[in-house]
Amino acid sequence: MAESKLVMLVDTQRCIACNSCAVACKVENNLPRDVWWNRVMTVGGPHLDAPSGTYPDLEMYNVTVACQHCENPACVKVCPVGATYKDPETGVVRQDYDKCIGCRMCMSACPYNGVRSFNWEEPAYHLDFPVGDQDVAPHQKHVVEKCTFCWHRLAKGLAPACVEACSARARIFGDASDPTSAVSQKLKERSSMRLLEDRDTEPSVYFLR
Amino acid sequence: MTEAYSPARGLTRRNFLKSTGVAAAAVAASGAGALTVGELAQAETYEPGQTEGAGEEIFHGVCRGNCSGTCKLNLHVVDGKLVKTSKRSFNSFPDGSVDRICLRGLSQVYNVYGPNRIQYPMRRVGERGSGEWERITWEEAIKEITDEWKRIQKEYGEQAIAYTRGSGNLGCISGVASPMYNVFFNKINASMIKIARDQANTRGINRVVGNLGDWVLNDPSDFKNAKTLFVWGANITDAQIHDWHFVADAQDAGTKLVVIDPIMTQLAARADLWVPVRPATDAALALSMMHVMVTEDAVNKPFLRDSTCAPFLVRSDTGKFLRMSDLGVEPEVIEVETGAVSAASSENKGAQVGKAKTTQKIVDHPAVLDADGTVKSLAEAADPQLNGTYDFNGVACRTAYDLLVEDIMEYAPEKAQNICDVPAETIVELAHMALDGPCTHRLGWGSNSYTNGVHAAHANITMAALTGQIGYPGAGTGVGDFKACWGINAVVKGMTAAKYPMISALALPEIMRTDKWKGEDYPIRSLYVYAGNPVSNQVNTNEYINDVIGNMDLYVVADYTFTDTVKYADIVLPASHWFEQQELVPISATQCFLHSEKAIDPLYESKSDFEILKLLAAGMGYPDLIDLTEDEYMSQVVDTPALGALGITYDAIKENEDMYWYPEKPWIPWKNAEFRTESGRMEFYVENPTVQFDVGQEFDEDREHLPRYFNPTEAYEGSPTWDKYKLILLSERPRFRVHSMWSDNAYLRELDPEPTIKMNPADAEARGIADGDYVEVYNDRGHCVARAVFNDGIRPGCMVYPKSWQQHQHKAGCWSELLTSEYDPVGVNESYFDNLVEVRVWNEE
Repeated sequence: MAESKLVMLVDTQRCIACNSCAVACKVENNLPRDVWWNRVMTVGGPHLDAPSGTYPDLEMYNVTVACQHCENPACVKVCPVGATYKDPETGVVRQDYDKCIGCRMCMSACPYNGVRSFNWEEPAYHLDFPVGDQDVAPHQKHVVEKCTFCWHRLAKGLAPACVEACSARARIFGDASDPTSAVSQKLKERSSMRLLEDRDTEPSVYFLR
Repeated sequence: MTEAYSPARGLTRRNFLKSTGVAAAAVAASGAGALTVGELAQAETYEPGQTEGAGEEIFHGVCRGNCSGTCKLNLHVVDGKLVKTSKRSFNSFPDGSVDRICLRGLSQVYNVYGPNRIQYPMRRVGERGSGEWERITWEEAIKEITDEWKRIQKEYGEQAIAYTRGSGNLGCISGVASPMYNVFFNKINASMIKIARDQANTRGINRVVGNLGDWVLNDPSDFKNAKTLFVWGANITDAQIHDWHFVADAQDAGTKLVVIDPIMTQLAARADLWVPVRPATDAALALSMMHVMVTEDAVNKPFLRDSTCAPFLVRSDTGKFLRMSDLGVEPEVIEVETGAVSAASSENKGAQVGKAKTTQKIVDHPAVLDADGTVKSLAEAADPQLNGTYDFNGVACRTAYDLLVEDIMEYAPEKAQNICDVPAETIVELAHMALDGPCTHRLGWGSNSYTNGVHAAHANITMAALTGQIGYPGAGTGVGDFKACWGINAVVKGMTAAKYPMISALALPEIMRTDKWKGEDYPIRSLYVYAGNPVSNQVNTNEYINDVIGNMDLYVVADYTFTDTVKYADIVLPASHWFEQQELVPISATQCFLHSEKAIDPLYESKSDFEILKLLAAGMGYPDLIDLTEDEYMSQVVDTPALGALGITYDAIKENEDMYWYPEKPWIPWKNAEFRTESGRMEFYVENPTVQFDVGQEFDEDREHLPRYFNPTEAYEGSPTWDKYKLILLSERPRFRVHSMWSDNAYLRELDPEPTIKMNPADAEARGIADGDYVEVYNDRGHCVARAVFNDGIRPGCMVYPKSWQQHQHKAGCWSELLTSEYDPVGVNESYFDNLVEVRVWNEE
C-alpha cells in the first residue's frame, strides 16, 4: 500500500491576497472569535497590499500562512503526550484535542509564527450556532488548534475549503508521492520555495514563483 | 452530523476511513485503503441536490450585491438555519471556468444572522440620526406611511412622493431589475430618483459606438486571445475578484498585462508594465498614444474609412456632418426595428422597456469626399477620403478624421508626459503595444470618477477606431462587462407609464432646497429607499443629510441591515435577506439568467421587498394591484418571444439554475464592426452630443464633439482649492466590503477591523503623521477620522480610503462627507475621486 504525501501549492503569481481562503477556513471550521488558521500576508511593506520599495519602483507578492504540515515537524517531536502526530498515510500533521494537555510546547517549537492558536478561554463565537461543516470537531478550551488540511473534507473526497474557495485558482492540492498528480507536475514545471527552508522542517506547503 | 466519530476527539484515522459513504467509495475505488488524493486535488463542488451530511440540505443561491460577479452559491441549511455558503458550479459552463466565490460570498452567514439585522418595523422617536426608535407593527408602519403619503400628495401634488434605490440586490422581483416598484409607484404617480453613479464611462463610450448596455466588453474568458490586455483604472483584484483568474489565465497563455493606475494595486503588481499615471489624466495619455499612431502613420486606414465616421465631412459653421440634404438630395425613408432595451440600462425610462418595435427612419446620408475629389453620398462613394476639405457654399468643411487629428496633435508625448507624469518613451511604447494587436482595453471606474471622465472613455474608444481593434477575439475596448440580459420584459401586469420623468439623484439636493425642478414648482416631501444606502454611498453626505433628508416630511427605508441610511429614517421596514426569498437575477457578468432558491424563512418579522410593495399598494388603496405570485411575475419578465426563441423560459431557468442567454460564447460585442450608432459606424466625432441625464443643464457642445483632455473640477495641482488642500482623495472598493452591506460582517471585521487611510510615507511624514496614527482627513465639505496606514504603493500626493464604512465605525465623520457633488453636465455622474483634502493627526477620542 503506497503512502501518500498530501501537499499544498500556492501560486504567488496568482495569489492576490483576497483572503477568500482565510474566510473559507474561518467559516468551514467554525473558528472561534479572533482565531484564524490560515492568513494571508503581503511580502513587502508593513501592511496587507503594501509593496516594498519607493514609488514607483515597487514590488509586491503575497504568501498564505497556515500549518505547513511538515515532513519533519518540530511540533511532533516536542509533544509530551502524542496529541500532535503525523498521519502516516497522508502526511497530514494532526492534533488530537482530547489528548492535548495545553502545554503549548508545539507552539514554541513551531518556527511558523501564528499558525497554531490556543484557546485560553471557552471558545467564543460571533453566532450562537455552529457554522460551517457540521462534521468539524468542536473547539475546546485549553487546547491547541491549527489547520487540519480540512481532514473532515478529505474524508468526503473533497479538497480543503481554502482550495475550493480560491477563485484565483492559486491553490493546488494533492498527492506529491504520485508523479502523475497535478501537484507533482506543477512542482516539476515551476520553481518553488518553502517557508524557512533552513529549519529542516520540510514543509508540505510550496509557493510557486 | 455523522455518528462515526467522536466529535470530542476530532477525527482519528480509524473513524476517518468510515466516517462517510463518500470516503468509503473512494477507498473501494482506489483499492488501496487510502484516499484517492490524486483525484481529490480539484474535487470541490456539490452535485445539485446533494446533501453534505445527515440533516443538511443544500439550496442553490446567487450572491447579488453589485460587484457584478453574481456568483452561484450552495446554501447549506441545517435545522432551518443557513450554516454555510460555498461555491456552486454553473451548469452553463460545464468546464468550471466561471465557478468562483470570494470572501464576501463565503461570509454571508453573518449577514443573515448578525446583530445588525433589522428585526421589526420601527418608528423614529428621537432626532433624525439619533438612533432612538420604537418598535411598531407592520400594520402601524404601513398605515403611517400611506396616511402620510396621502396627506403629502394632497398638499403638495402626486410627485411629492419619490422613490429610489441603490444596487444592493440585482434581482428582478425585489431588486434593481424589478419592475414591481414601477408598477406600484407609477400607479400613485410618484417621482423616481435615479442614482447617478458609474455613468461617465458609459456616456463616453456609448456615444461613439451605441448602446448594447451600460458596460460592455469582450467576455473575460476572451482576454487570453489578446496579445496585450490594457487595464485602465480598474482595481480588478479588489472590486472584481471573480474576474482576476481570467487575467491570470491570459498571462499564462502569453498575454501581456499593462496596468494604468496611479496606485500599485495587487493587479498592478502582477503587470508586465505598470504605468503609474497622474490621476484624472487618462484622456491625455490615450490622446498621446494616438499621436504616436498618427505621426507614425500606423493607423488602420481601411477600418477608419469603412467602419468609422472618419471620412464624414463636418461643417465648420454648425459642427454637424454635411448631409446629402444640404446638397439637395432627398433623404431616404426606411423601416427599422428599434432594439429592446433592458430594464437595468440607463436608457430605462421607467415603464416602456423590453419592447422592440418597428419605426420609420429617415436616412440623410453623410457627404464624403471620394477619391476623385468630388463630394458624394457615403452610400455611393467608392473610396471615401480620410483627409480633405470642401467648400460648401462658403462653409468650410473638413473630414471628421482631420478634426480628430488636429485635436490629437496637441498631445505629443513630450507634452503629454508633463500632464500624465508618464515618460514620453513609455507613451511611445504603449502606443506600439496597442498597435500590435489584438489588444483588449478594459476600463474601470477610476477615470470615470472625475468630471472629465466622459472624455477619458471617449478617448479610449476612439483609439479603437484608429487601430480597428474591436469586435473580434482578443480585440475590444469597454468597461468590464456587466449588463442586463437582453429581451426581458418590464411591462408586467399592472404596469402603467410613469407620469413624471426620472430625476437624477444629483439634482435632488437642489430640488429639495428650492422646491423647483427645471424652473417649475416641484416639491418632494417623502422618499422611499430600497436596496440602497445613499447616506453612505452618495457624494457630499452633509448636503444629503441636511438638504435632502432634512427637507423630507417622511423618509422611509427598507433594508435588511442597519445602514447609515436606515439611521436617518423616520420609518424603517425590515426587508428579508436574499436567501429568504426566491429571486431571478437577470443582470450578470456571466451573461446568465440565474435563479436563487428560498433557503430559509424570513427571519424575525422581515418581509421580502415584493411583499412590502403589496402592503404599500393596499395601503394606498390598490389591494389588487400586485395580485400575482412571485413566480407569475418572474415568468412575465422572462417569458418573452425573444428569449423563448433561445429556449429560455422561466421554468427552464428555475430547473437549470443558470441559463446563458447570449447567442454566442464567448460574448464579444461589436462583431463585424457593426455599431449601434445612426450610421452604424464608430462615430468618434459626436455630431449631436447629448447628456447622460437631463437636469435642465447647459453644456458646451463644441467640447463634446471629440475627445479632449481638460482638468477635472478639483483634483489637480493648481485647482481653485489647491491653496488649502494638496492631497487627492481616491477610494477603492475593498475586497472586505466592496459595498456597505458587508460593513458590519464580524468575520471580515476581524481581518479589517476599522477605517483606514492609505498614505505614502513621504506625505505622512511631511505632516508629522506616524504609521498607525489616527488622522483627520478634511476639506470644506466635511471630515473623516481613520487610522493612517503607510503604503509605498500609494502615489505621493494622493491618499486612498477603502470605502463603505458606516458612520458609527469612524471616530468622527465619514468618507462621503468629503466628496464633491459637483458634476460634469454631460456625464451627470458622481465624481468620487474629484476631491482635494488635507490630513492631520487626530488627538481626540
